[in-house]
Amino acid sequence: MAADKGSISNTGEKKFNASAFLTQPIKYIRSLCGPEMPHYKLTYFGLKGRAEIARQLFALAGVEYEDKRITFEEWPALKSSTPFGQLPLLEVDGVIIAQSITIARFLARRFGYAGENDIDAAKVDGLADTFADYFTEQKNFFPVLIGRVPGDKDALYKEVYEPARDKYIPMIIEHFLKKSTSGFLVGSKLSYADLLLAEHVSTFQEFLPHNWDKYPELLAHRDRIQAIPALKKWLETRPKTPF
Amino acid sequence: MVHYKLHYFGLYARGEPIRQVFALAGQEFEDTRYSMEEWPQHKADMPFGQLPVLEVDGELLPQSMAILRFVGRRFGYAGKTDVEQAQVDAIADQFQDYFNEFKAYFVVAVGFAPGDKEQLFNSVMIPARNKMFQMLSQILRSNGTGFLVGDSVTYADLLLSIHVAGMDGLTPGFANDYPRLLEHRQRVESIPALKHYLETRPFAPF
Repeated sequence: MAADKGSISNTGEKKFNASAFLTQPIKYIRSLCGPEMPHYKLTYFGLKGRAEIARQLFALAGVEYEDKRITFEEWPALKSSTPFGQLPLLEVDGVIIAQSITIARFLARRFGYAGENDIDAAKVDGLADTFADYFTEQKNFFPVLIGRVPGDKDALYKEVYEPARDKYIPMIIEHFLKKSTSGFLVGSKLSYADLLLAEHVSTFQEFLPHNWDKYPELLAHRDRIQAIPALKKWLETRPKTPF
Repeated sequence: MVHYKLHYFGLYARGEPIRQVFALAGQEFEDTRYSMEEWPQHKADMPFGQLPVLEVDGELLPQSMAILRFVGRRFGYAGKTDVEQAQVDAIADQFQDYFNEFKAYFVVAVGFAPGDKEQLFNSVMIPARNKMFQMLSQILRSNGTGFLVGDSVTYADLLLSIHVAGMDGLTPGFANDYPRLLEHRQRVESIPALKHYLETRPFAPF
């Protein structure tokens, strides 16, 4: 029992290794669980941006990963070695997956945040695609809002952003939030669509405190989602970046 | 028996990859095609006021890529493991970005908007095409199976072959600088179920 180091006994049972358990309990228990856990490495800039949903999924699932944050100076050297010349990238046991929503969907599927059946998964995906359409429609506004591109913020807000917001948000509220009995956008469980929406609502509220005055349902949804303990903890402890 | 009904226009565009998955799978579906005149009456019935929508036993699923992924996964044309599925999805996402990039040219080329088609072809379409086609040729080369992901046809292959065929129809010789992609199109189109489908499908301008 004392210095076994978890050896297999004659009966085929592994003997309990008390010292390993006491010094590195998680590692020891993992070693008993069989094959190595997958190794995840998420590469992005030191921003929330297009990697934040993936990071939130890891936090919700309680899964360890390497949260690699590169600088803008390091990026050009790395760019040509990436599948599509972009970040974020997720490396899973040596395989590289690109495209932020694909990464989110992949992790969500693995960890159980992608809908409870394939029909719900399709609804979650469809919502994510609709967010993408909405973001695309106001893509000339966001860089000006966050100060990365010069421009007339107020004019773009009125002419570009508000019409996009008022086209998409009511549909999301009517077809998903109001029809939900769970408080989640699709089905009865949290999905990555909820994370996309809540994060977007938070980011825009930080820059534009009255942006969601007409849509209290979104603020309520955001509050519900961000109260989930594992997510709340991540939001409190994640590196602070403006966007 | 599950009942599938695809709601779309009489176009290839965002509906055709979905139709071709049904064809590959040998799965019957109701192929509803709205005319431009009747569409406004049905718009409010659709979750986001857009087409395509796939109706599955009464459930309405919007967004072409989400639908494509759904049928791809149900019928086995989406990648064999979750990692492969993510690689197929990533290519689909890249197609979406690419379509957004050359949209300004496309709407003029098919007559939906006024503009200088020649100028837009050179300034918008060609750079976008070259970037995308180079990446896809590289993916085909490294994968080495003749398909984009894994060793059999997925909806990523359909997105590519349909795009090459469609653009070649608009501008003959569109993909001639990319022999790997021409070869890929031949390979996909000669899959028996697809070959038969292509010979019998209703014609559409794009």
